[in-house]
Amino acid sequence: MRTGSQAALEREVDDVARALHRRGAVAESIALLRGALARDGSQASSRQLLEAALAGGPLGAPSTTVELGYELVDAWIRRGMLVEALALLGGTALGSREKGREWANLLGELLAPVPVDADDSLRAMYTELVTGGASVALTLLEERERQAPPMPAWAGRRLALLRWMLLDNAEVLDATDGPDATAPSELAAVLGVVLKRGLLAGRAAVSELAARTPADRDAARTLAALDVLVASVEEEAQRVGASTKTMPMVGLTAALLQLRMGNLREAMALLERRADDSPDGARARRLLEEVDVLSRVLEGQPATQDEELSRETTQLGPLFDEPTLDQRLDRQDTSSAHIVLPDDAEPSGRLTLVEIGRGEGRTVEQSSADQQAEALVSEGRLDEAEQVYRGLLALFPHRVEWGRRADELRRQRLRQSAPDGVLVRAIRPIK
Amino acid sequence: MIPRVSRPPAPGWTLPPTTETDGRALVLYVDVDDGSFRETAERLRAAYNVIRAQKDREACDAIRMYHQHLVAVLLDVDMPGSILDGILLTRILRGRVPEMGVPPFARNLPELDVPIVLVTGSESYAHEDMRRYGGDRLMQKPVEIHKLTLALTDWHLARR
Repeated sequence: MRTGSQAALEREVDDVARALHRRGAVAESIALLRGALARDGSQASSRQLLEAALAGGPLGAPSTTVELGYELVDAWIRRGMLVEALALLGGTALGSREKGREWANLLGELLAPVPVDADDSLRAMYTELVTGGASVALTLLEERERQAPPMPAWAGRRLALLRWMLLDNAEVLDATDGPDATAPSELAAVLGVVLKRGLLAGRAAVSELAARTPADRDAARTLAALDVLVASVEEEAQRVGASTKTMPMVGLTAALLQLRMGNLREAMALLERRADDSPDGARARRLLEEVDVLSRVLEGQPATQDEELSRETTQLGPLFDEPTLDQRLDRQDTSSAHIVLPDDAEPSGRLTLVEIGRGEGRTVEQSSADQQAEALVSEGRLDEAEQVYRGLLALFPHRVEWGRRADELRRQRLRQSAPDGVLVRAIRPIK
Repeated sequence: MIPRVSRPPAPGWTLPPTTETDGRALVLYVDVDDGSFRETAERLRAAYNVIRAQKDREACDAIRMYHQHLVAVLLDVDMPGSILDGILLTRILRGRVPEMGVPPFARNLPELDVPIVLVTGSESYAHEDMRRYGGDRLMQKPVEIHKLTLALTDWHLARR
């Protein structure tokens, strides 16, 4: 199931593609849609638009007014939508103006194909870059930088560019960019700094407001939420920095990177996926509560829902409480166990869902689709197995274990494509 | 020299890092016009090593020599002074010309699995025509790095 923010982003991308197409920038419109689908293949409407564009048909008018400006390019870059941002610049006059052209050229350099003889980790980095995995690409480059032989100069330059785009500029202050006058409250306007410049800058801004208005409970609660999130990001950075092992750039690690960059929606989406029965579930839920406080404030709602909740959430216990194995097993949901059987009546092996009722005890049926996917894994066809799991997950979003398995397979694939493991440290220590 | 960015490209951005680059992806540029080559090479050099052939025969030699390392081939549509123009060379490279119609120097070229971008200084060619002949994109000279990269990215994503 797609979240509201994913659907909104998909609409935005589709509308920009339509706008570019109407301006005659057909190639850029197609590249934009291909970039979006490479990032998230489940966008059905984008796929339809791409097919229409490839067939030479019209794409229709945008469903809303789309402002094709630097702000949108900036927002897309911060989300790691680098191909889409480049297509937007190339398909409009933005890319030919002096400022936009410089920006386009930097993206053109960053996204350029790697040399044919580049090593596997750098090739994996390129794949991530053009498929929406900019933060993974960054970690791949950082990991590669620590290995021998030394990285070629062009790769070092891309690492610097990527750090600059994803990290440095998430935290810089724009002198011309004051508080949002249209924000629903002063606190919301100040907190908007998080979205523009990252978590640390946002915390500093809210801290200043809270000091100025000590009686404002919402400001105090918001600051408390920011403190928790910043502490968690810093703790993760230290944990990862201290580890000599390769760390997966998924789950909480990825969520915390998004948080640091101020991408609250992306962080929430990642945390929600971990908040069920994953080993990190308790921590994810705690973080989610704090991010939810920020979201409420940004929408002009009170930070504190009621006194009791406020007390509960501001007196925080350890963030890293992990459930015991028994707790995890007890939480395992067998009530919605399904079995997926091939339907002989259907052509081409379509799968039919059969509800087998509330599960008893801890027995969970292994579905035939699982088995098929695992059979692909045993044959080394990880890519196809991952696709099977992702397809199943799209049909049954509550089966989080399929999502986890798909993520595992993706990591496994990337490890295979790069020696010594490449999915790596995600967050650099905060100074 | 790589063109330096003298100021932030957008509000709120710091200056980008500057590093001389090396070992970049290899691109073959076929054009007899020195000025056009210089300008394009200068624009692309931040991310691409541009090697040049002036005429058709030289282009075929370069393809034989470098085909395993190329990430793209850029051909002038007109190629004045050559037997083959960019369109015919594209069709040969895509295997669309019977051998008897191919001049000896262009026979038995290695299979080239990279995008072919046709470049022109004229407004009279259409992108769709170039596609019909087996080209992947038509671009105006001098070629901009962001336009080439977007075209190559699109080509890669289409093949995933």
